[in-house]
Amino acid sequence: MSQQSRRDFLLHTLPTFAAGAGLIACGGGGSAGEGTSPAPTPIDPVPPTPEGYKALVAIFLFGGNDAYNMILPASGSAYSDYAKARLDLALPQSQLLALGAADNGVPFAAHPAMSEFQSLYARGRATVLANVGPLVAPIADGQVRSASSQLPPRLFSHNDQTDQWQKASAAGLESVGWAGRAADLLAPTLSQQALPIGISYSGSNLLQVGRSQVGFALGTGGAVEASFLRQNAALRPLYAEMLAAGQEHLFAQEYSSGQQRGLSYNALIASALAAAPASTVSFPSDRLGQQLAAVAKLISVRARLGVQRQIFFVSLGGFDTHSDQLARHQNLLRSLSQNLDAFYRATEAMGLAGNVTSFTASDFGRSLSVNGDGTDHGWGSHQLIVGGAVRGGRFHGQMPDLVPGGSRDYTGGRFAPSTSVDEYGSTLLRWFGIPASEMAAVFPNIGRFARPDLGFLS
Amino acid sequence: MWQSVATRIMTGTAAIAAPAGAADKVLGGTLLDRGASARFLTQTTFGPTRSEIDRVALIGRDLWLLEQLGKTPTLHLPRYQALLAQSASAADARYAAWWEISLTAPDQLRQRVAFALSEIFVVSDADTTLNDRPMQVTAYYDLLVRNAFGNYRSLIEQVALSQAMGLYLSHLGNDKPDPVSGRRPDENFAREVMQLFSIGLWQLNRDGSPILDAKGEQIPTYDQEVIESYARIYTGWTWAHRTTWGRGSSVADETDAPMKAFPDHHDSGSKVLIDGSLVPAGQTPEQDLKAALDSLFNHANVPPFVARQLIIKLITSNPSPAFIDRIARVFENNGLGVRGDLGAVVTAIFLDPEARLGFLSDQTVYGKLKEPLLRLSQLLRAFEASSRSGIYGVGRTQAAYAQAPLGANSVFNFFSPQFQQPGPIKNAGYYSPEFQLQTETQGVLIVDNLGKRIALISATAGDNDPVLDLSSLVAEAADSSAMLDDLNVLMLGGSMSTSLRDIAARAIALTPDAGDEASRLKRAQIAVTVIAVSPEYAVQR
Repeated sequence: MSQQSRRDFLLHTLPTFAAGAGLIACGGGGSAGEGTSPAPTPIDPVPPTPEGYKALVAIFLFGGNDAYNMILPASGSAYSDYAKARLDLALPQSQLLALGAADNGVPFAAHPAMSEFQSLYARGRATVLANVGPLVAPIADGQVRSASSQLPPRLFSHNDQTDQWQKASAAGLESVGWAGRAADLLAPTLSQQALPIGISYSGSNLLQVGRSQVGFALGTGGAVEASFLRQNAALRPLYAEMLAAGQEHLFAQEYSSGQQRGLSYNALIASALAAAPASTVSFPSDRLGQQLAAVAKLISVRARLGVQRQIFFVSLGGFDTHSDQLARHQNLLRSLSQNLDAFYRATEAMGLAGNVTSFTASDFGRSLSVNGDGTDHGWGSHQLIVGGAVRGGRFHGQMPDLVPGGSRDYTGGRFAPSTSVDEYGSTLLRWFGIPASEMAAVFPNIGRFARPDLGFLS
Repeated sequence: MWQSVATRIMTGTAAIAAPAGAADKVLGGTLLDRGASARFLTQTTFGPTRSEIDRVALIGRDLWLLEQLGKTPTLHLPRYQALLAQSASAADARYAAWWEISLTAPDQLRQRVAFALSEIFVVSDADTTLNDRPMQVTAYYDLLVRNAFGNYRSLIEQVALSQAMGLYLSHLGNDKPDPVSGRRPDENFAREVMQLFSIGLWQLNRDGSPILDAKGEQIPTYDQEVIESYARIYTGWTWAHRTTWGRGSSVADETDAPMKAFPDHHDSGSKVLIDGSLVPAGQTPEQDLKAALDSLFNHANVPPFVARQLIIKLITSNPSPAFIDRIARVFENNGLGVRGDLGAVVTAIFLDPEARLGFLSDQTVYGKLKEPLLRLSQLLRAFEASSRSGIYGVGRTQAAYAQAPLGANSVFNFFSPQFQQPGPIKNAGYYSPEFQLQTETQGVLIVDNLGKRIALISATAGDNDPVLDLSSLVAEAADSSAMLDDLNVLMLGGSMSTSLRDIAARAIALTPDAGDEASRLKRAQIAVTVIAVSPEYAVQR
């Protein structure tokens, strides 16, 4: 069954949407583990398909993560520069968690709340991509103040830069996300896949919107249902008929088709999740933990859903730390670190460490300069990538000098990225299975940048 | 300020050119008069009730609006405090007060407009700064309630000085710069008050369309330097109860007063305003604030920006430029030479020909997806839900409805005015803000919860659970046609399609009338459920 016909099939079986496993084709999905410590017994017996299963997990840090207090110089004059600029927000040198030297030879460290990340890094399972962000074209050192025609529009605005992160190729592009464009390319090759490639546990987002493919949002509490239909089974065919009736009003029609998709996909997932193996990994009980636990659980039933390629979207909010940053940021980074670790261990336990890559993104970095007990909107920032396929234990990208007015300072310690979102996404998607020859269809501006593969994934 | 509106209605100025009762005349008939009344109340209140429908049908829209404009504001803080004294948790008391007032207060128009304002001038207890301060959040909502028909200039100043906003956008405790260390003022409020509360990102024509430069490109309203200048203006304010400068506060000490100025912590240097004029050095925090807010208030973007924001929250997601232009003109001048009269603006919105008749000329796009919370409030009001205890324990709606009053995830509200649902809506170039909340899974959760609330009966409900009063429906439940006539008016403003009516009738018929209370209650519940989960109920037209 092609994906389209499968989808049609699913929609047309709506009256009996709790279809049961018998209606759900199995096959595809699954693969032997490639992680450092494969689980002793694969919990999924389905044999690997030739192309194997791969998943990308986008962890969006809403509000604009202060990357300069997440990954920072560990010692020496670089630390002094940092501490001088950061005033009361400077983290004490003695508490920092050492990582290793960045490209500029400076030793860098992680925030004290990120011991799990430090350990992942030390084991080669995690990396840092330095100073990445939306760019229209490369900006050379010292050129940012004279590059006004080449700057992304509406710099430092939350929603605009969030969109630029999710769309990439910062300017002049239709409103579709790069994961959605990748899904457009991949969907025709995934004949067995019963779910959209994009799955969100954090509501609607632009990243997963393609021209034809659109992400599907799920709740973290498992699949949902409409209890009035369970309690009044005879209503099911009538509700299905109501939703299938063409609506003259565009919004009513969209509501109808949304309800159809919501009911049928959730029924499909409910049926698959009913057979999910118990998780051996416990996640933090916070919101990010709930989302990533749900991702891991859905991955565990990939074979039952015929799923071979998935791009997940999860998020952690609260990073807009204009005030009270030290306390708030510490809590957020602790959650991030613990969750990255729990999720990595969950993929390891499934024998999928090398098949699943999680990565962070955020509205923007924050200003190096300080407003008292907080920081303001910036531009470039550092991102974390975790997984068995990561060339970890080392830094990627170029670290800016944390000096106000330095060669990449646009204004007030808002540093221009040295690596574009396009290169970051392109590297992730090369690994995911988008051929280099197709990359310009996903990132129209990729040709302007030096490194369509940044080399942080193998 | 509502007296000026009365003048406008009585003298029939341009903005209320819609002939009174036009929709009624088009549709004709007594029953459809009630339908038109219900449709009007769907726009202007938290949902039509039988008695309010009768009242609008009796006195007409103009008088009803006048009546509403003159009603005493129902404030939330006293109810919140009373409920808190009844030992509810603080957050639950805030929600219970909000639901009680939104569902039952006589000043429905004001409450509905205040809710719209709460989605423009956003603060939220989903944020760590406010999640343990429901009193501040409730006081902020009252600020919106009090100013719903007041002047925008006064509203924006009270918003700027409110402690809740000061916490949320962190200008509470914003200190003057320190050139020695390099510390500079917080830019948060300075940025968002322009982007979200007043002028937006791009220069606008009065009809809301962007002004283009010689190259055909949009023109930004401000740049980073402007933000930095205003950030310096908004320095020197903190908690009203503090006697010394600082940001710290213990909740027990807090009052609902506006922030207090500490001139020593105000940047008293000169600053450049958005219009290029200069704020002289040496002014007080109050003088600087006045200059800053005046400069925003008088910016040409404010009338179309506010007009579009209010129209899309209240009437339709895709207003015509002419609609925006008409409302922006009222914002510029209420007819008595006053700029920013919100009472005049909302009256003009509700009486505009497009608000009244747009659904007739455009049956495919006009209108909006109802916000999840409003789908619930309309259901609860339609059947005058109440609980044994008298408390409106609707509770925490975040999971089922992706919304709670003053509970958005960020200052960008629950949904963006620019959101376009991927697929046919986006492909056709339309905006559909509320669809940002309505993911497919959320859509299932919403109908699931609506269904549960309809099925709830007193015998099994908790003390605080609002239960629908279906008695008048049950009384006519033997006759499905009578029930559907009733529901057509009450829930759908008289617009039920024949297809929905047919399906609903067959759904009701699944439970034959056995002449007893049980079968009739079941028939009534099924009838309400089928309507409440329908695509037609989900869209306000």
